[in-house]
Amino acid sequence: MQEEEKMKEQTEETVPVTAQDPVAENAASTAQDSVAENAAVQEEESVADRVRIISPFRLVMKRFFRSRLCVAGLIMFVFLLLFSFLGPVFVGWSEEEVDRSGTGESYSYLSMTVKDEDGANYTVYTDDIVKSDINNHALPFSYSHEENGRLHLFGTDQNGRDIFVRLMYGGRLSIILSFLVVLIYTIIGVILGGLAGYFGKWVDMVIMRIVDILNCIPSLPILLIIGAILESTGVNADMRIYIMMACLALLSWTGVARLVRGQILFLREQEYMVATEALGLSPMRKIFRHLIPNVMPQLIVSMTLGLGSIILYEATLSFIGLGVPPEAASWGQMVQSAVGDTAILNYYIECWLPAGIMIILAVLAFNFIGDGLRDALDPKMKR
Amino acid sequence: MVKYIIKRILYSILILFAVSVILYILVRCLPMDYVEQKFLSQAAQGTISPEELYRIKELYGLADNSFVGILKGYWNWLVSALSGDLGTSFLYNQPVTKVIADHMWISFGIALAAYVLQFVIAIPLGIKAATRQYGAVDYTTTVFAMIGISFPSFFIAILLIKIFSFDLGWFPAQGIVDGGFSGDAFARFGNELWHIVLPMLAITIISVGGLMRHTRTNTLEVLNQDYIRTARAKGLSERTVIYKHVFRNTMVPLVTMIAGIVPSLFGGMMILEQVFALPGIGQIAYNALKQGDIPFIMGYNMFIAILTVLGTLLSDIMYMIVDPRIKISK
Repeated sequence: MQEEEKMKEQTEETVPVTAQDPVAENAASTAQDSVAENAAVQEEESVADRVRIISPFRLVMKRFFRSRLCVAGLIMFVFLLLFSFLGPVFVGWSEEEVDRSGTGESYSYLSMTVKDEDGANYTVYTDDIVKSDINNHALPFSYSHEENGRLHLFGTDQNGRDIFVRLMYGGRLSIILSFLVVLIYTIIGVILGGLAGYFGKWVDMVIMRIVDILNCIPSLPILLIIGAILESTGVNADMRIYIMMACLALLSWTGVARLVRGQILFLREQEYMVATEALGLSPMRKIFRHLIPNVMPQLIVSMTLGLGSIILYEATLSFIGLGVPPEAASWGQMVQSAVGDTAILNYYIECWLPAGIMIILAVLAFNFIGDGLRDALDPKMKR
Repeated sequence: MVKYIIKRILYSILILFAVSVILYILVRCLPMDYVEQKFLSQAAQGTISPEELYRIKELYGLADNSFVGILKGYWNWLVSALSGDLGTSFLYNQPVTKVIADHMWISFGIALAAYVLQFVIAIPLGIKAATRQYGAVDYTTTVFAMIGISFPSFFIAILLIKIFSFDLGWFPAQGIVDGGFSGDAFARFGNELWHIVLPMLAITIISVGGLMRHTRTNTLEVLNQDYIRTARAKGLSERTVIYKHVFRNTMVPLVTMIAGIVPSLFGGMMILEQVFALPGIGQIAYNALKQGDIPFIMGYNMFIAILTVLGTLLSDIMYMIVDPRIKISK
């Protein structure tokens, strides 16, 4: 960086001389004894070539891609996107499809001890073959028992549904919901925080008190209550999770509002804002053209990190049974299957472990990207 | 300063009042109230008449569900709450304050142990990571911290139970004490300690990363200060610079963490206590929420709200004490 700056200074000093004095230069270059000078000109040109003016955006991108963790996060995110949105095309199963090509191979033992007439004990075993038409808990890498059976890459769950494809649909749900929620609460936060920071006085007072109140309300109990209310008012089960997440958005804009307000309070005192005052710009233009863009870096970082925490929230809600209906897939619900059933916890790891790992992967991707963006967008950073 | 604190306390009371109004209205909107849930089967069989049900509801103060009725209910709750009586829990048949006090300490013990562990791990590692920024230590701690943060609490709990309880058999999976445990108080305490190891580990794994990142950022900030350069220029050893000059100043912003610590110490972990089947305050509150136990829900949520307000206030005051540069603006 420092070297580049020095070079820029050099070119700025030397270029005007050549530009102002083209005749002299020409004369000099035509003269036979001007070899040295000629070389000097060439060197100047090559210095000018070497200097690149990097736009702030390019600089940020450069810093971002230099960090290995960010690139890892980005790769993970792209993988998740492809996996959950494009993946189902390549799998022969659909989200709620039950594999009904049952094995009929589950045995149950019955044993009883019978006493003979001469006093000897006999143990009698009865084998009972239970025919079930649902191929549940199929092994990973097994095929369904049909003609040209389809592959269960991660096996099937307790209800005979393909785990691999359910992971994809669960990812779809998580990603869509997290983007929606973050978008909604960021918009609310920016508007309210912007108003509070810009107008101050009673506007600030009212909005910040609302923020304080919302901060004091524990969100999980509130969501539990809202979940119970929705359950009984007969809201469509598919819609429930969306309403829950909307409530979550209404509860979680406070952080963004605080951030925006704090930044605007600081920026309001800067010289360029005094200049906008002198130019007589309208408040709308001042806020949205001149203040918000300057809050953008912090906002982008907080949005990225927010995506991760919303995915965690969605998973938690699904885990306690307030998410999508049981037939639909969600990561939290898949992990939940291990809690009620020790057999699943111990012997059918494929039912819950991949889902948990997917949650971690998704949250980790956003955390890596957010962390890297914070470093890349920070103008104080040297590296 | 005293004036500032009094002003803040008055604000807090106003905020708590607003919180209680919102909570009460929400809770009363619960469609199946406690009485209906409790007598559901009897009502279905017809052994209890609607009139009787109504009388019971009146007894619980749930009969009038109009707006005025809710306001009246809220007023009654407020008056008794102000005199220190949070009412009697429908579900547990005991005063709410007693239920909270009985079950709070389990959650508190686990949370406290987890916090101690967290600070012991996170602060040295955070400082080490900052002093060797972009080094191997920094990268590994960053990656592990991030993975820890990304764990859903229920998943880490299940994973720990699977590995340490079912596979290795080192720790009990659930509960706070062995079923049918008989022994003196000391042995019982030991048994309880054995049971809280996994929950404590779970909390630590989830939250140690945040603290570590926080310490690292603070330390980096301090390391760039002029007085650190001065300390080095004086010829102090790197050890002295780090542990005397950097370390102490790193602690200053950590004081603000009190705001988050206070409610989480006493408030319990709903999900974790659920998975580990611990009779802590979180589990108790979860059951109360599911069954519409209005006095307890109100009491518990107000308890958390008060802790949050107190935590914020405490952290602001502490910050002013620790860092004399902070001035009261308003």
